[in-house]
Amino acid sequence: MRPPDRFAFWLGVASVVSAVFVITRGDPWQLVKMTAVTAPVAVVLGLVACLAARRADPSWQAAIGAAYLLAALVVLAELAFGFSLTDGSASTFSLWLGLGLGLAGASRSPANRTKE
Amino acid sequence: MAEAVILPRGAPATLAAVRVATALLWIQNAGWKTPGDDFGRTSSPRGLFLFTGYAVDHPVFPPFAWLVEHVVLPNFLVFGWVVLLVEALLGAFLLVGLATRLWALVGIGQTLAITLSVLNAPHEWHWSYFLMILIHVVLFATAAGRYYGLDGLLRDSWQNRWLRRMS
Repeated sequence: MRPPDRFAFWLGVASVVSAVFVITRGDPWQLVKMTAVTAPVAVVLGLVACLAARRADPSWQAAIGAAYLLAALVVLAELAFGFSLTDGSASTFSLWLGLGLGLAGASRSPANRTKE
Repeated sequence: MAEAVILPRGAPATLAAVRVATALLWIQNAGWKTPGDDFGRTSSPRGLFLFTGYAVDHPVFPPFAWLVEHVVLPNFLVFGWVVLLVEALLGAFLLVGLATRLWALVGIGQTLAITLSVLNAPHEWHWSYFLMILIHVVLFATAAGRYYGLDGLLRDSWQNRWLRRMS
């Protein structure tokens, strides 16, 4: 794999692994708040990110990055306006924001642009 | 002409691991900043409001204690959101190693604010905060985002000199 695809792949793996926090509670083990809604989202988006990385497809990587960013905004909106859709916390927002930035950035890597 | 620095084997991966671990510190701790209960400003103070109040109850630096008592606490909802967003963004950017040197500086600033609030509070271990500052200094000095991070993938394509320096 090329470096940006490898980077995107490991972000996808991190997302899938993050679902494990749905079974943890409190310090120090619950690094990220994962719920019955956010855990499946993390797994699905993570698997698609891994697939996009294996296919070396920057447009897919950018799309998955946008999906993570949208999911992060949903969590932020919940925190701001007090409704409950995902029951995520600021930790969920932070993780998904990072994954979204990471995938969007990887899709814009010069190594991907020379392929276009 | 500057010599190329050759890192010992394993050093890049170690730096990346330290960067990711630091990101997880901020990600986890953003999680208990809760706007739903006004960040802990309740009849029985808890959470961020409680810890911020320590700056006044157990002052470390009197001008900072004054600032907290007269500016921060009376406008706590705003400051609560600022802390939530700063810590969440710290976690996000350090996790993927984007503009890492910039966010390392932000991390130093945020850690200093925390230290000035809680250093003299009961049951605190001062070395926690000194080590937090030092870890961000290391992330800044080593430009840790260039190793297994987005800074390493994107930096050569950035024209902006300031952005290149902050990565």
